[in-house]
Amino acid sequence: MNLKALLFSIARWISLGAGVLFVVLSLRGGKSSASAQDVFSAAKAAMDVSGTEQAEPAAITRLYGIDPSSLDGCFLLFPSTNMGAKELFVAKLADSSDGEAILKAVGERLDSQKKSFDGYGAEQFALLTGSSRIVCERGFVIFTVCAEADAVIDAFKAAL
Amino acid sequence: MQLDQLLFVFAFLPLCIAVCAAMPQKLKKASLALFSLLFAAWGRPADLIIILSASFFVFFTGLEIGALRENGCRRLAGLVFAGGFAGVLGLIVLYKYLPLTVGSLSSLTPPVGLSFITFSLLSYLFDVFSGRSGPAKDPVGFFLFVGFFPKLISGPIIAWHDFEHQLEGCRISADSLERGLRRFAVGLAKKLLIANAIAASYNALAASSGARTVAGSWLALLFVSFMLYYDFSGYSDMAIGLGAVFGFELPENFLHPYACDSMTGFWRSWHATLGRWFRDYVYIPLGGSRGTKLETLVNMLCVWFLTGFWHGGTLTFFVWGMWHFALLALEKFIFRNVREKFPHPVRVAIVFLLAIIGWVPFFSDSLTKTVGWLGRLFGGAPLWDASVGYYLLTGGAALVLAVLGSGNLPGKLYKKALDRSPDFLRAVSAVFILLLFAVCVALMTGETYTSFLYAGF
Repeated sequence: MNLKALLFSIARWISLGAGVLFVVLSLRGGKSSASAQDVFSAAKAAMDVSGTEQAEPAAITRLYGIDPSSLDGCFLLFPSTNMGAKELFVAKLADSSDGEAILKAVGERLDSQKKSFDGYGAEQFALLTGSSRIVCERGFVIFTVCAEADAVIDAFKAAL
Repeated sequence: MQLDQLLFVFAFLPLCIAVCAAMPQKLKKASLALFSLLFAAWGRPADLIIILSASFFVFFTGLEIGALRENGCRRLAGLVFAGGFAGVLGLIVLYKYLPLTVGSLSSLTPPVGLSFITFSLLSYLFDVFSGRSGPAKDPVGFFLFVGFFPKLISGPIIAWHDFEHQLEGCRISADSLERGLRRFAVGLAKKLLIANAIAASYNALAASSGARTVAGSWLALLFVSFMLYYDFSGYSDMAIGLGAVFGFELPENFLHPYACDSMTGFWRSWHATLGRWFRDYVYIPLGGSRGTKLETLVNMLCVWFLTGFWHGGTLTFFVWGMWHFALLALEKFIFRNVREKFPHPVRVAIVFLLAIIGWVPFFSDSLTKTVGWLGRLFGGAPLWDASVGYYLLTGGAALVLAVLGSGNLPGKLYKKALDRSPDFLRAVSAVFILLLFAVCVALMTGETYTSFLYAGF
């Protein structure tokens, strides 16, 4: 092989390497193939679910203004009584462009809960302001309000 | 970014034309290449990494093959060619087919135009290895061949040996601007005024009870047949028009396929550049029709297997490919002489019917839905439903326009009128096209966006 061909060969392999590296990095950071059910179960296992109940799709629409059928899976644990603030919401996005809308809906839910408890439930308000997390990662959105919020988020990320 | 979006029509395109026109000749190609990069990166800049690395991989592969051939190392050149070929094929398999079966790859989203970029890269490797063309020495010109924005998303597919000699002719003139923008406006009208209108009627019909009747199934079939034709041919017109603006002649992709009187003619007229690519790079290298009948059949089967597979890795596309293989084989070997006994209009009607039946698996999500739709077409359902009449009335106008416009009659009439009074007709057609464009702009502003159908392949 002459020098010219060798140089072109090296350049060819560098180009190929760059492409392969990009694909590998994309796979690591891309959309998760985990199911919404599995991710929700993993997150739920990390929190104290007393005082909560699983919501029907209609309740998700009522509380968040989201149509669950527009997502690739969507689960909600919400307070059993009006005096509760613990909550866990996990949604798998059908399309990454839906993320913004879902995050906005979740943010509005959190603001609404804060307004409800501001001045009436000090403990609940503290939970909502200090122990709530909203995370959007790898095609999933999670919203949690509980004392174990950090552990829930760790479990969520591990399940992706 | 798509060619029928306001952002493209009123921001990207005028800026591109202005910059390229203002640049000195030696920088025009580079400007066009930069704009093509911007187009490819719009919305997903990371895609550029794959497009550029694939382009550079093939660019240097071509140079290496050329250098080895110069030194008489044909065997090594063959190995390098095989490696390059495998690399490009590997790219499309990884992004388009493996995610269908490997769950962990489902997060991989193919870069825009990957399927069509693959054709460009493979044809380049074939041309350089076979000696039909020399390797590209200029990476800018090569990237323009791979990523030229008018043809990036859905073609037309052009081979390197047809594109390379046009690179030095890259320029914008008043004539190229007029011709190109006229063609672009016609394509835009086809997409927005006809294809989208039919799509709306089809979607509504498909969701209604009318779709489960015999009449509704035939109406739905007519809708999808013309929706696809006007969507794809409209896109091709836009791409060819834009190419012409910059001095590039892109090949015709649709030549009145529904007016053809043979399946062979249909496939020389429907997505003509795809058929030509498979003929030049698969059928002929395999032996074409030079061998025995059996060998010819096997070669045709390969082509149609790959054609179906390229459209999608599902059974429905396989069935679609095999349907057309069967029709072409029957036409070539059994019905060649029988055809001539029928008058031309009857042959056209038969070919049209056979071609549109092929769209049933093409547009079905599963074999079950394919069988269901075919069953309803041939009597396995109630004959009629009130909603069918409604969709026939509301979508009928667009369908009639679509049918009339899909033949070669409008073109013939235009040419006849042009011979009689060229100046008057040119003025009238210019005003007409401007009006069409104004309506398209109104639609682009007001309508929910419907993406190009073939952008999904």
